Amino acid sequence: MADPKTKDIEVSPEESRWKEDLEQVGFVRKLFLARKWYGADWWLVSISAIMVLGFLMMAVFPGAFAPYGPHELVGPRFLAPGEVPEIPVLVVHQGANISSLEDYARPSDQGRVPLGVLQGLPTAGALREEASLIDGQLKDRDDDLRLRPDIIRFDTRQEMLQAIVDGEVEGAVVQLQEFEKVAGDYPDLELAGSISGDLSTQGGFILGTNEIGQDVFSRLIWGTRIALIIGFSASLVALFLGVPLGLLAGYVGGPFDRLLSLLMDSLYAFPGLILAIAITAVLGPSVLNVIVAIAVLYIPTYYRIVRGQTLSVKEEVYIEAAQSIGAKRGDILWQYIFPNVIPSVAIIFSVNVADAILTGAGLSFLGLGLPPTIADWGIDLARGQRFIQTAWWMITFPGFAIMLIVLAFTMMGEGLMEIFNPKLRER
Amino acid sequence: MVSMVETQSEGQQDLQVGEILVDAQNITKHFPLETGLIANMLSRGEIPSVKAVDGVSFFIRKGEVFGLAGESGSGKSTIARLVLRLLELTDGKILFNGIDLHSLSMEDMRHMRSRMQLVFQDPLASLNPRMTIGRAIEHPAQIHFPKLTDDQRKERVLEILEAVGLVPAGNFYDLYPHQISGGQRQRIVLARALVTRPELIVADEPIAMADVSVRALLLDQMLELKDNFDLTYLYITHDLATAKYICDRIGILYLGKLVEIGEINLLFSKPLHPYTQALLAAVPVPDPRMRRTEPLPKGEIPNPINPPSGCRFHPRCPYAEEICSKEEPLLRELKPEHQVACHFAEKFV
Amino acid sequence: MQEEILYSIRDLTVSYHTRAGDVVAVDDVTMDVMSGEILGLVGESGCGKSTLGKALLRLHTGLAEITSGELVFEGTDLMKLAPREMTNIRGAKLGMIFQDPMTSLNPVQRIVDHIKETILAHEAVSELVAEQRAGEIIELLGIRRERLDDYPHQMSGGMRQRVMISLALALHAELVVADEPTTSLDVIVEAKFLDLLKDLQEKFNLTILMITHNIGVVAEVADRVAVMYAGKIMEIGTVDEVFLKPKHPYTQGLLSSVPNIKLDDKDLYHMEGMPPNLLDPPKGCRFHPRCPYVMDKCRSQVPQLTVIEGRQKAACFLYEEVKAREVVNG
Repeated sequence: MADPKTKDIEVSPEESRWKEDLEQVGFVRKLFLARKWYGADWWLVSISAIMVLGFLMMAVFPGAFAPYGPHELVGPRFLAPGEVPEIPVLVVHQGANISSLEDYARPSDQGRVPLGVLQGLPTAGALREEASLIDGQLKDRDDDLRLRPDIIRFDTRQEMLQAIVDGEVEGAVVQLQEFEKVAGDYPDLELAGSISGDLSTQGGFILGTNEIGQDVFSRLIWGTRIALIIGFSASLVALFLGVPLGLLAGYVGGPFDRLLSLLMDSLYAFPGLILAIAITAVLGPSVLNVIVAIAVLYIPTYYRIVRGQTLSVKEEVYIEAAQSIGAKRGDILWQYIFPNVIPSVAIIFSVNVADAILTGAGLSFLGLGLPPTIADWGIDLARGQRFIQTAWWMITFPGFAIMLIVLAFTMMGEGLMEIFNPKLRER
Repeated sequence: MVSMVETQSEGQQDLQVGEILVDAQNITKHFPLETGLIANMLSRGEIPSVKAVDGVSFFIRKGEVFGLAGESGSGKSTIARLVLRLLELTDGKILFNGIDLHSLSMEDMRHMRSRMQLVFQDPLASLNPRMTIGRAIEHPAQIHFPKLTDDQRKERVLEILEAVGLVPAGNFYDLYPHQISGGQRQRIVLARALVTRPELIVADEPIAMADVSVRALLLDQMLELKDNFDLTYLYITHDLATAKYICDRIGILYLGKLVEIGEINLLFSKPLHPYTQALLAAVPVPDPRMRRTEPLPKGEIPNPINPPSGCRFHPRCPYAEEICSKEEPLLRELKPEHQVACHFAEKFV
Repeated sequence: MQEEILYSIRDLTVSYHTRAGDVVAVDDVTMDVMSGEILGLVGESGCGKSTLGKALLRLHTGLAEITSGELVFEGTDLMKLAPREMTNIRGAKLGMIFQDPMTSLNPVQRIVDHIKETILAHEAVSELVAEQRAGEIIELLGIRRERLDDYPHQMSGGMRQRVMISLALALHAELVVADEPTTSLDVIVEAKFLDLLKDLQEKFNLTILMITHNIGVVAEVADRVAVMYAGKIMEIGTVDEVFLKPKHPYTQGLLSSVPNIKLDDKDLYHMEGMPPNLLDPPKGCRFHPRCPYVMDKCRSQVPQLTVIEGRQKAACFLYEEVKAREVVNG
């Protein structure tokens, strides 16, 4: 009697056989076995998977990666990447008990406080701005305190610092770095605080700041969130609409199929971005509307893939077998056709997300769809466009980010496609 | 052991062995060819079609193995699917235990399927690659016996697996089709076909893809299952040597028509139709002493879209005369239980 | 039939390097093909017969590699030839036809062009001459000359196989390797094709290696037959010897398990087990797990092909005993 060596995977010398086996094995196990078999492709998928994971982390925990909030004004405008901002600080006599400009506020009848600045530097302007800002706030208060410094110009730093020591001025505004260089020479003087900006930004900003003083890097991190939200949501909506329609059209056929395919083909033929623009223009700007607009764009993609797969699976012998055992049409569609069509969908999804992110960025670049309160790469691109000559970093890095995330998802999708289903070559 | 009572629907007569289970009456199946609008208009309504099966009549008795043999274009696979109503008839009737299958509603037909099953030529292709063996065999039971609990169903599946010789049955339950070796796959398909305790099994070249050394076992197993499960077989094949081993009666098909039908041993030892004679002579025999000496009919099988007039075999028949191209011969009973469709069959009796 | 060796295969081993491991499809095969004979090579799927057939033309693609052995054709070891020289021989002196002619023929090329191209690739003749030759050969094979203008899809399966042979004949091939040539053909067409092969053998002294799993076909047409199992030749001899007095248990089992239409009520023999997994073949004699006569020796040692009787050879330890007894008994 035959001995059923049940775990034997029958191997014949034909080279295609091992590929057939690989196709049928479970998803996860396949991923690990695949390294042995697929060399370069596996690396492609792994690296891009790590990148995607990285982006996902950034989107879920932006605070862990970004030093600042997305709208926070962190420093001077147009700061180049790594450029150390000039931080004007207040230098005072030791023991003067001053820690910020505000401390100089005094009743209006006491006269003006003399503060020194260097001739020809913008520090005078900074001091004046800061002072008038504080003064404005003081005016609203009930007490009589005002801040109206008497700005005295000096020719050299030494003169100015000496003046503090001598008591001619009560304090002076210097660049932080400059003061630190000579601090040793003036042991009586100390740092009170910064005039504007945060002392902690001494290192500069990695990717610079934009035209209103926001940290480009932080905005990049925060922008991941909306990019992925739009990308995933739009793709998922398109999937949940396109896949069932494709299944039905492929299975049922007839006039239903023809009508639907006509509709889908027309949608598909439309240049994507234009269609999305039209929809958002009609619906108005909001995250939801952007998602809807982009989803509509990609429904035909899923529809076509699934319909094509359904048509070919429908001809398989095991479908006839399912009919011959008396299965209901719904059962056949759901238990026999659907599971054999799904793998292709999962792979398309990845590439689709990349596409959706790109389209979303395009929309917001054009100023459509997203309200300006959301940190988004597309918006940053638009804003940076005006300053491309002077502040190239404003447009370059968001552009780079878009490129990277699209690349990551696309590579992963293509890599998976190579591994799981080399016969499938549709977008 | 689950009761056999479940398999019988109301009003069904319990057939005795020897009574007619399947009665195919003048069945015809034409597949219309898709032609352009203009061609349709030009041909004045006469749409060209592939006349796959043309006026075939036969019956199958309960408990027997009835064979249908022929070469390509004979229509045997089409008939198999017509009997199971996986294809719709163009004309004619098929009675299954007295019930006209093709007049049933689709829903009623679906329920009938528990009583007739198909075993395919390629076992791997006929199993859903994403379904485990257990689930695949369970599915028919789930469809037709919804009152069974999960455990009862599983037990039934295990029973069947043992019955087809796949032991220990539990091992096979969770495997996928590609994990089963070639020799065992056809048994899985048999198991799936048997789980609803059908009365009729249509087998379309069931051993063609099995290894030669394993075929004998499969054939004998099918015969054993027939006895144990009270089955009737419609056995479709082009391999006459195998047909001789397993079939009781056989019908020879040529280009959509039945040319000869009868008890197999008698028919093979004394074929009355020239085509049957040619076919039998052409079969390669694994014995060098019995090499073929007879001449072969000239020509090749014609196109089923435009079959020859009169007797379809006449262009190739060494005995053809004028009447053969004009008048189509009907099946006539020349010997008890032995029918031939040939104008001159008498000379071979 | 002459007793001249046309093609001598010596110690041939062909391996497939799959990612799951190495599969030895042809294992140390030594076999002679005599000039003008039809040699049948039978075995089940996976036994290595197709691999062996392709190896004779050094036709391996992809993962297969001839790892050792000599292929001596008309005195020359083909393994030592440069690729260019091999190309000259292949298609000219050595031809091959496959199971499915539809995939071997270019669907957008007319038949006449197929044959012409083949001729022109190997011989320096004019197009006119090539076309004439094509017509002659086609008629020889029973196809009307007018059909030369057809495309492959316009021809039936049987005709396409004949076209395949014509390609081999066009260059006066000496050996044609036919790999399952009739498996996809109807029974009557198959019989006619076998007649044709016998005809060609007679007329042109064509040598044919007929690879098939259908032992009936071999019995109809072959002069000698080799039985292959799991990469090794188990038995070889004339058709009469092997079919009427099979020596190897596998051959015996195979013959008893196949129905014979001319015999009545024969019980079929059930062979135990299944063809082995070549990634991990059985130790010793490859057939031992399924052999009804298995001895201890069979599990560890590999039997060699030795002469049993006349021209008949088998690779089985059963006959050592017999021989030993013969020697002892004088």
